[in-house]
Amino acid sequence: MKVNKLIKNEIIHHYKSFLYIILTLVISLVGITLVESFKESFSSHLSGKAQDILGSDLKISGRKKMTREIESRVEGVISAVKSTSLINTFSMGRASDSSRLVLVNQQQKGFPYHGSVLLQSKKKIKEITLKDSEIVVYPEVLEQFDIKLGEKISIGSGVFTVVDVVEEDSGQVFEMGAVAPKVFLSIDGMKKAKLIQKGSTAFYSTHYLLAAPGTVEFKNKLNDLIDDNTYRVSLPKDSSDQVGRVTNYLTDFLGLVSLSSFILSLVGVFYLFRSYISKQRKVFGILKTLGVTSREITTAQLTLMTFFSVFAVLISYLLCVVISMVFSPLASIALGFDFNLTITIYNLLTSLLISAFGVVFICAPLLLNELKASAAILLMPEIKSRIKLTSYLPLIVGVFFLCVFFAHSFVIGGAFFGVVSGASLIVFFGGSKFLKFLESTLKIKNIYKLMTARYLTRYRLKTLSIFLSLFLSSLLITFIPGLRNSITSELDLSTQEKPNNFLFDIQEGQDQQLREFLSTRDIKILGDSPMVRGRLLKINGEKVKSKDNQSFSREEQREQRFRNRGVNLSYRQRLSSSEVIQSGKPMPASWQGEGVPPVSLEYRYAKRIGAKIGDVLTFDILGIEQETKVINLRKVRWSSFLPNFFILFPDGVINDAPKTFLFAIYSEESKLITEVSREFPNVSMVDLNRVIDKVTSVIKQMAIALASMSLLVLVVGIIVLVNLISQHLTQRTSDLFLYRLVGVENREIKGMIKNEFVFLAFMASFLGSLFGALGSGVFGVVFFQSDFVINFFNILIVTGLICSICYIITLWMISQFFRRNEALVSAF
Amino acid sequence: MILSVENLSHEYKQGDNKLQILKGLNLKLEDGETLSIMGKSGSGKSTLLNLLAGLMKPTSGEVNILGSSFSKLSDKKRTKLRGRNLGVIFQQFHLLPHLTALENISFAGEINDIDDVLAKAKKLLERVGLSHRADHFPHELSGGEMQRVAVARALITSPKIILADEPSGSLDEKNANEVIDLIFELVEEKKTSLVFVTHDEDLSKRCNRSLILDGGSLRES
Ligand SMILES: Nc1ncnc2c1ncn2[C@@H]1O[C@H](COP(=O)(O)OP(=O)(O)O)[C@@H](O)[C@H]1O
Ligand SMILES: [Mg+2]
Repeated sequence: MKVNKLIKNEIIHHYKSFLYIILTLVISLVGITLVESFKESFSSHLSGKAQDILGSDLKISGRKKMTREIESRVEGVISAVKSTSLINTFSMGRASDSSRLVLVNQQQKGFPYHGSVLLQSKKKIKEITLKDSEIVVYPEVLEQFDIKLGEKISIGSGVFTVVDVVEEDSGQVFEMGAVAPKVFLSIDGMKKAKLIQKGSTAFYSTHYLLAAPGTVEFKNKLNDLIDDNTYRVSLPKDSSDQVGRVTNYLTDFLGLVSLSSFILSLVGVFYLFRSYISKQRKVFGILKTLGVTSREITTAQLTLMTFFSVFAVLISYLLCVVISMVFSPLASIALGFDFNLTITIYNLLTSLLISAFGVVFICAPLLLNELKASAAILLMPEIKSRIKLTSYLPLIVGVFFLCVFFAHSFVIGGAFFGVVSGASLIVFFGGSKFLKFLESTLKIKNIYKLMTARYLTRYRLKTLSIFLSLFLSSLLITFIPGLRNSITSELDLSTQEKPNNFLFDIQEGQDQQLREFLSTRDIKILGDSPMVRGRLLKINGEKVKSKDNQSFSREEQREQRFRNRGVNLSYRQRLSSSEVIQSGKPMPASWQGEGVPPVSLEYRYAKRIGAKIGDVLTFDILGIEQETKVINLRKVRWSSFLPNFFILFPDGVINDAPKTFLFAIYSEESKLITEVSREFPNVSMVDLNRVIDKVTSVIKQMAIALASMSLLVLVVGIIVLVNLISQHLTQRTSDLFLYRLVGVENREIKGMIKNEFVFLAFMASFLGSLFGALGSGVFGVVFFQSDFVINFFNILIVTGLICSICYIITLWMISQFFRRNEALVSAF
Repeated sequence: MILSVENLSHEYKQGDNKLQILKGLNLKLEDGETLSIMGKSGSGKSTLLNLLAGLMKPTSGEVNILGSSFSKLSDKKRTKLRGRNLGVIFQQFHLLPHLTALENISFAGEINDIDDVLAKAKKLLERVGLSHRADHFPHELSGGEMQRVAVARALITSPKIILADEPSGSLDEKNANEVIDLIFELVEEKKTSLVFVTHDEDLSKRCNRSLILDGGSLRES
């Protein structure tokens, strides 16, 4: 009864503070919810792209058809809605007097499940049924064979009529293995051409449409289950190196954005509640004198807060729904793709979780701390409660778990928590020491400046708490755009010329002629690499076994599978412009010496096969064993579209091995492909334009995602800042009043408050943005494989921005106070 | 005449409601005179005192201190006038929490350009019996001690008038008596005028003159 009455009284008498609390909660929750749903929308858009490339949710492929036994093992653990088995193989196509390699794909009605292959007839390939004498081809096939739609082409022992031409293929990827142009045949057509007989090499793949998308763990589980390295399990994100990376990056980045906006809101709400409680101090004192127990006050306040939180959750949910309805069509226009911002029940639950978190970990400890004091103490305005650091402990632990929850990753969430809490601790304790030092050393003549200094140095806890809040806001506001810089530097599309055509299968001896042929046409060769086929045999003398050994752990078995695949080796005198050494020494340009020659490995490949710098690797190159020692690990700028190799030798080690050449060129000449085909019948040419366009558009969309999320964090951050400062100034009303009482002029009061804030805001925003920039640099290196990028200009901008925001709000708040002259008096 | 009030009216606006607190109030105070103002709780005593201190603007009417009308002064001049010539003591003690007892006193002098502030502040602190607490912060002092610091602060500028609004209201009896005695002793010593708001009849008798605030205006008791 008593508690109910208390609650009613509270609401009636403090409705303004409560409106303010609800407003702040709503803004925070709307911020978090929008960030979350942006995150979902962007990642589902990008993972959709990846699905389109794979064509399905899961592909299991290999050189052999999956046995019934393995198939049933797989089907036992997945929940497949549909599945299709397809065959593809390389074969020589012939027409008029030229012949060249094509990739023959089996066409099946209903496939691909995701994405589409659009034909010139405006039909989709999954809608048509091919007769056994019909073929659909990529446009470059027509050019290379110099034929037209309706004419004939022979493949294997069959002859086929070209009935349609591919206009757009969402499944086309930039991949070194898939360089020959695609053609589509029905299974009967493939049989007729005798392409799938015993002895011929074909790739068998089974595609599954799943009820729920697969995760990395799911993939590992399948790999372990199949337990045979003949088969390869692919998820959409494995379908294209570039798109897969973009999706991974985006997921991690957006996780961090969620975290940042969450922490920002937390800072805001924490500060808000703290000032609410300090305002209520007197009321608590009175209630206690009247015989209301601390427990009853706590219950009443927590009930109130719970009520307001739920109320705020509902309002923010409705607001978000409205915003998403208005915003989605606008965003779709701006982004150039169908962008659907959906607010789901999941968002509602997240908001509820956060609110519950706030009530339990922020309101409760602060209240309990406050109510420990006796009634008499609570009633004295000169005494402000001091909070022991230990009462923040549950909050800190809680924040850690929510960080992991928001990042969907223990590592990223934990690292973020580490950076934020570490920086806060440094600032808190360092700041405390610094302020003590200032107090004892500063000698200030001017009374007003002295007052400012005294306020700052003696009100340490208060100074530090507003400082910490400003600091964290600045940190996060800088962190996200900084991270964006790191990532986009990695995604940079503009730095150099990109090839749009690859020339393959250039034979030794033929390469010189082709070089001349291209140079007479003023076509520059952007990438020029010899290619030698090899297989990894041993690492440090230990045989890489082809059959998985049962004594190995699952991890080691996976490593084994990677080691076993055939690889392309290359050699070069220097690194290309798209490569940088990540660790180790640079490689000599050439090698004539004795002993074990050096080799450079792509760093992710090295990680996958488990090789380190200094390890000795033995390769089998067409029957000859070649020992090499890993001299460095290399990073390849994967958005460069230049051919790159996992394994790179210096000049002079494998030069004598049989090899072919791969040229990457840029040319806009449409006739080039026909001319090259005529002059060099065995050379294949692949047009990369479509693929590059596709990947570029994904990268550009990601850049938009990054930019808009950074902006969103900035907006949330500014709202929190405004909130912080106005709360802080409201708490200082009594000081302002006293200053006036003893005869300080308004101008001087303004000056003092301004000085305080300029000092606080400048230090906090400078340090905050410095830490934010450092943090983003470190995160970029650790989680996004980018170079260590620190943008000092950004630090300046954020510092300037936050300082000016603080300054403007402070001025505005002060003028508000003086405008309502009586506000100062009636603050008592 | 050191203070005069003419036809002073004040109303608070609460939404659409207007709360008329003072209606055509008149008051005169001579140099060195002590005056008590009594009245029921809610009768507008604090409102009147705040108006006398120039902390609020009246709805209408004039407050003249030492011959200058508050309403005709700029905010700056008004603040200076208050700082130098008025000492205000409230029921709540109102000290700056980040300054020590001594600093709370000297600060008020310093901003009003009083010479030898530190020595004066120390003397006053001794006078109110707190020289041993000079370096203590407000939260380290008792209520009575805080109020004594506030009294000393009100006196640092050697004001012509002291305005006291139930200065013992928040204290227990022993402390209350001590603080009240202190105020009257100091007023006597320094020959300042005093406007003393109280609801205690015994206390009001210690003043030269007593008025009662009732129905928005003052009447003799
Ligand atoms: N800022 C204000 N806004 C509205 N009403 C006020 C305000 N301050 C005081 N009042 C009202 O004015 C009346 C007189 O208040 P006050 O001067 O404090 O009386 P007293 O000091 O005699 O107890 C009271 O009814 C009070 O509720
Ligand atoms: Mg009063």
